[in-house]
Amino acid sequence: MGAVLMVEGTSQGAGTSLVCAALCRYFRQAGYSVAPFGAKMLVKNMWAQDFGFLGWEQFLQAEAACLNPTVNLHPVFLLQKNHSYDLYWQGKIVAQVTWHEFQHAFAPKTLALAREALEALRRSYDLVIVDGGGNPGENKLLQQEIITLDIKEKLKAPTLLVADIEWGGMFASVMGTFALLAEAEKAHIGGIIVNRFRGRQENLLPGLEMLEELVQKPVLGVLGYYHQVPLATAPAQLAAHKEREAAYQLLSSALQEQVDLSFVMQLLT
Amino acid sequence: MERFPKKQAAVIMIQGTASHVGKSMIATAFCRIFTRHGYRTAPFKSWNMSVNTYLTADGGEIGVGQGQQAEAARIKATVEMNPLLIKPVAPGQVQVIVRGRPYKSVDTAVYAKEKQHDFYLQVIAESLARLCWEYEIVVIEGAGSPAEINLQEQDVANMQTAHLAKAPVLLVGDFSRNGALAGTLGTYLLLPPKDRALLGGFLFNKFDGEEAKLQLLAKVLTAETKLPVLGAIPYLKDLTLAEEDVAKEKALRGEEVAEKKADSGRQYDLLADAVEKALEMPQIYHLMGLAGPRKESGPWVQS
Repeated sequence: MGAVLMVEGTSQGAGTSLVCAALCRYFRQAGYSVAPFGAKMLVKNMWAQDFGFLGWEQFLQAEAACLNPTVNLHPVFLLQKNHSYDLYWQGKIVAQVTWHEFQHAFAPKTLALAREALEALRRSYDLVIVDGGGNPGENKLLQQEIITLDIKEKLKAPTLLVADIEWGGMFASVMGTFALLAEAEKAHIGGIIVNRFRGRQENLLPGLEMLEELVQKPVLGVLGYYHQVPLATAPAQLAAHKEREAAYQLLSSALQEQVDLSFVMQLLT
Repeated sequence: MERFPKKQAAVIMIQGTASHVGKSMIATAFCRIFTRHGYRTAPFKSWNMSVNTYLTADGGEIGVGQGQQAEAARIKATVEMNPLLIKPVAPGQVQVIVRGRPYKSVDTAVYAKEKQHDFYLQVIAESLARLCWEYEIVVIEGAGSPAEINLQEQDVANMQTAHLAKAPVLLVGDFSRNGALAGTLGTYLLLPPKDRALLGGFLFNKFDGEEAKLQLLAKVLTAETKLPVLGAIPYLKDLTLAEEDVAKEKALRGEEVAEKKADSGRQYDLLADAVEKALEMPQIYHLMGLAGPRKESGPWVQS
């Protein structure tokens, strides 16, 4: 069975999707067969395939992993409408639900479908990289991101925490996240990746060392701001295939330059 | 040097878990709310980094936020309301503006390392003292997050200003991105005890209306910090105030200016109505050492 690497963020939009795409390309280039898996329930944009729809992010992550999207990459998700959600199972819309209805009537089947799909991927690939959304503390408390919670509980998957530093408050968001987790849950977090840093790393380093002391986890690297990458835009502005390829290469290089990937590798073995 | 001003005005400070959580907007609303309640109110932001500036009547340059907040408070903006303005002028270069006047231009790396801390604190203390003499309430806005552990000594804008003013602090978290609890709790945990002692409570901004979610997060936050959540402000998309453009405004004819002013006056009232409704105002007055409104409260804008 393939290994599973979970990626969660300090908040929604912290950059887990982009980090997952970067990891997909990096591990593919390193010679592994890799599949992305969308565990994040809420989707803003989706993308049509012959089997139906999947989330926009998973479409790009599949490209980064050099594979054709299949229904298993994103077996269930909710597309937000004005006051309700469209529930998609295996690429097809099955119901229009409120959050309450989803949690009470549709959650068990959703979990079953997600588990089956993830198992299928693990049988076919060396590594599955899970886009888990964020924030893990709030998700647990509110029982949101039920697929992510389920994977963490059942598989004890090693987890990377993506911490968004763009508008500041990164140290607090990491500190608060750890404060909300139980010891067993903290144990699965392998390390922290700081995302969207614009500035001089030398100014940040003393703070990162303090943070490592405070939460007893390593900061595995600091990524810059990749606003030019198509993952940052909506599908309407889909860049040409050549540009997308260049973007995945850029992300993979950035990951290799900035992040302690040998440590990530150790987490998986 | 009068390091600790003799306090005349009541003060309240708005800090945030990060930039862009809505501190400025909330401080603007507070200025209008207290003004409507019959208090002579002034805004204050000790240190500001911004390219958007506002020209005061005497030709000084301050952050656009304080200019708007002064408008919301129905007073003329003065340079004391934002005595330190750091304005990026070119890549890697900032202009330091002290009390509205250019003080110097320096390399950002130089600015980050220079030791002018005492001078800056003195400027802040003097400006604050003046506002506290002139007004009955001073609404203070912080900058960024007060818990940047790599910058805690340099950060004059947040807790150092709060200590100078002896201001109770409300910490604002962004509810919309599933990180408000981690952000507020983490900020609390990273603050040293003397700073924590100034915290009066939390506010959530960009609240999506999910009451059950709010109750659960507030319960955990209060249990962990022993501090109350004093309100959740909904998304106020329609109430975004026009970016103040001084040059454009000068080009307008007199009646157009008057029209624009009247319109932004209504915007401030709408904003104040929405924020006042969302907050526990009696508790906020209590933190400030005041009994409550001097006049009957709104809503000022009838829908």
